[in-house]
Amino acid sequence: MALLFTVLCGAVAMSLGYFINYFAKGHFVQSTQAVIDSEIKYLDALGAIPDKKHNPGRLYVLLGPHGKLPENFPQPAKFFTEGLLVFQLSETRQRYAARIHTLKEHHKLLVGVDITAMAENFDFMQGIGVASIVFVMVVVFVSFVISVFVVDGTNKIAETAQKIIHTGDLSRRIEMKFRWDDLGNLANVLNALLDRVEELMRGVREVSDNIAHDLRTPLTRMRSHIEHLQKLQPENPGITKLLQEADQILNTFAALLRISRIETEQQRSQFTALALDQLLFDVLEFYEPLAEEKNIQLSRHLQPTPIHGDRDLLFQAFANVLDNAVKYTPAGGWINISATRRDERNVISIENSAEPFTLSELDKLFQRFYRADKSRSQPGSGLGLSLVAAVVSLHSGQVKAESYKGGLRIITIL
Amino acid sequence: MKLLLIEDDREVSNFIAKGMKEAGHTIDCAYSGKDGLFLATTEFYDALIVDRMLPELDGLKIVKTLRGTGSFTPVLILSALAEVDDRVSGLRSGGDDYLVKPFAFTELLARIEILGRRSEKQQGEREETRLVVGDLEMDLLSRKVRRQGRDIELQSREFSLLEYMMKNKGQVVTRTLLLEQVWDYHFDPQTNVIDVHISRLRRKIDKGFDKPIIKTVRGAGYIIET
Repeated sequence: MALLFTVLCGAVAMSLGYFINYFAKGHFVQSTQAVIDSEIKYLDALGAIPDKKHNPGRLYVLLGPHGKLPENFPQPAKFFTEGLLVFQLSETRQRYAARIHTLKEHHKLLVGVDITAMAENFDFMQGIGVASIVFVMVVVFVSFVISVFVVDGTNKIAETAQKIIHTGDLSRRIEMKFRWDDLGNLANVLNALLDRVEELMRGVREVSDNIAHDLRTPLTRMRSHIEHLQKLQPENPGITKLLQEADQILNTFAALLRISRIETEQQRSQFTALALDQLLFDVLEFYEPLAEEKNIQLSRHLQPTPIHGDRDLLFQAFANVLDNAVKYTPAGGWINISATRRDERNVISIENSAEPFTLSELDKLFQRFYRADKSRSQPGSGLGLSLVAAVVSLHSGQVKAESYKGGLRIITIL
Repeated sequence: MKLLLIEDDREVSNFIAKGMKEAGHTIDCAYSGKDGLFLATTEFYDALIVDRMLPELDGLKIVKTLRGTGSFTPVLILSALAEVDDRVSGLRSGGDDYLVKPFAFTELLARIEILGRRSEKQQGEREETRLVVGDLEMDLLSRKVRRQGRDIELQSREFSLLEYMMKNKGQVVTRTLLLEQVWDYHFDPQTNVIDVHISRLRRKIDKGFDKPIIKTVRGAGYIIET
C-alpha cells in the first residue's frame, strides 16, 4: 500500500513538473515569436533598416548573398522552433532570438530581439518546475517513510490484538518504539483499555471463584446432610430423590461455571499434541455398550487427524455430542462418525438418525439451557452442547448442526 | 487408618470426621492451615485430607512444605476449584489426589482408602503379576482371565476394568475413580455409562457361576470380594 501510494505521488510530481516546464516553454516561444513578428511588420512598414540607437534591444544584420551569417557572428546556439534562431552575443552576454527576413530587394536580413529578460523569466520558471519536482519528491519520500512507520505501527497493534484473541492472554501490551506520535498515543490508549479489561476480567474471575467457593461449601453441607439422612433411612425413596435433585443442581452449577471459565480464560496451558482419531475411538468405545443396549448401529471412519489441544476437554466435548446422539437416536437407529483431514484442518462429523429438526431449532442447539421440545422427556441440563461450543472455540474451531438424511449431523472443524 | 483433616468449615469437617469414624478410621481435625501443618509435621498419619482454600496458610503451601521436609504421606486435596488447571496445579504441588467440592462422602472414603492402601503397598510388596479373588484369577503377563479353571474372553478395556477392581479388591471403587483410572480421561459422563460397562463385564465373569464377584454398593460404586 505504502509503495503504491509513493509511486502514485511520484508520478503526479513528475507530470506536474513536466507541465510547468511545457507551459513555460510554450509561453516563452509564443511571446518571442510575437515580438519578432511585430518587429518585422514594423520593418516592412518603415521600408528601411531603422537606426539601432533608437531601437535598443534590437539587432539587424544584413546577410551575405547566400544567406550566410557574417564570419565574426556567433553561431546560433540552438533552434527553438522552426525559423527561430537563438544566440548569445559574447561581448554583452545578451541573448537574442532572431529570424531571417527577406526584404523587397531580395536582401536577407536577420532580425533579432533581445530576449535576455524573457529568457531569465523562462529559466526562472524552469527552475520552479525542477524545484517543485524535487520538493514533491522529498514530500513523497518523507511520506513513504511515515507510511512505512504507520503501517508498521498499525500492524503491531493488529498483531497484539490477534495474539490476545488467540491466546486469551490479557497481560499482553502493545509495544511501541515512539511515544510522542499519534500512533504511540493510540497504543497508549489501547494499552490503558487492556489494563481496564484485564482488571475487569480479574474481577469477574474473582467473583466466579467466590461464587464457586461460597456456594459450593453450603451445597456440600446440604448434600452431606441429605446423605446422612439417607444413611438413617436407606429405604426412603423421597430422600433418594432429594439427593438426585441436589446432584442435578450441583451438576448444572458446575457445568455453567466450567463453560464460563473456558470462555473467559481461554486457558491453553494443557494443550498438547494429540491424535484426535484415537481420542474419538476412545469416546466411541466408551459409549458403544450404551448404543448396543439400544440396538443402535455404530459405524466409524477415522482417518489420522493430529491436533494440538486439551485432551480432557476434547474428550468431554465429543462425549457430550455422542451422549446426545445415543440419547436421541431411536432404538434400532444408526450413528456414523467420521474424522477426515481437509485443507490442514480436521473435520469431524457425527450423524445420527433422529426426528428432523427445524432450522430455528438447529440454530438454538448450542445455546445455554436450550432444550428441544422432543428432548424434554430426557434427563439433561441443556448445557451439553454449549460446552461443546465453548471447547471448540477454545481450539479456534467451528461447530454447527444441520439436518441430514432424516437425522442430525454435528460438524466440527478443528 | 489414622487420618488428618485440615478444613476450615466446621460443618464439612464434622461431617467428614463422623463418616470416617463410622468407617473405622481415626481422624484428627485442624481448622486452620497453621494448626494443620503443625499436626502434620509432628504426628504420624496414613493419609491427609487438605482443603485448598484455608485461612492463614493455603492448602497447596501446606503440601509443598510437607514435601519439602521429605514427608511422603499421601495427600488428598479438597477444592472448590474444578478446572483442569486447578487440578494440575494441585497435583503438581505434591498432592496425590484431587477431589472437587461438593463431593459424595463415599467418593472421599473410597479415594482415601485407596491412597492409604497404596502407600502401604509401596513400602513392601513387589508388583504382582497374578491377581486372585476367590475363584477368579487374572494373569497380567499373558492377559488371561480364568474362573474355576474356565477361560473368560475379555476385551482390552474390560480387562483393565477388572484389573483395577481386582487390584483394589475388598475396596469400594467409585464410578469417577474408574473413569479416571481405567479410561484415563477426566470428564463428566452425562449418563451412567460406567454402569453399562460393569453390567457387560458382569455378564462375562458372573454368568453361569452361582456366586457373583462384582457387587454394587448403593450410592457409592462397586466392590470385588469373595
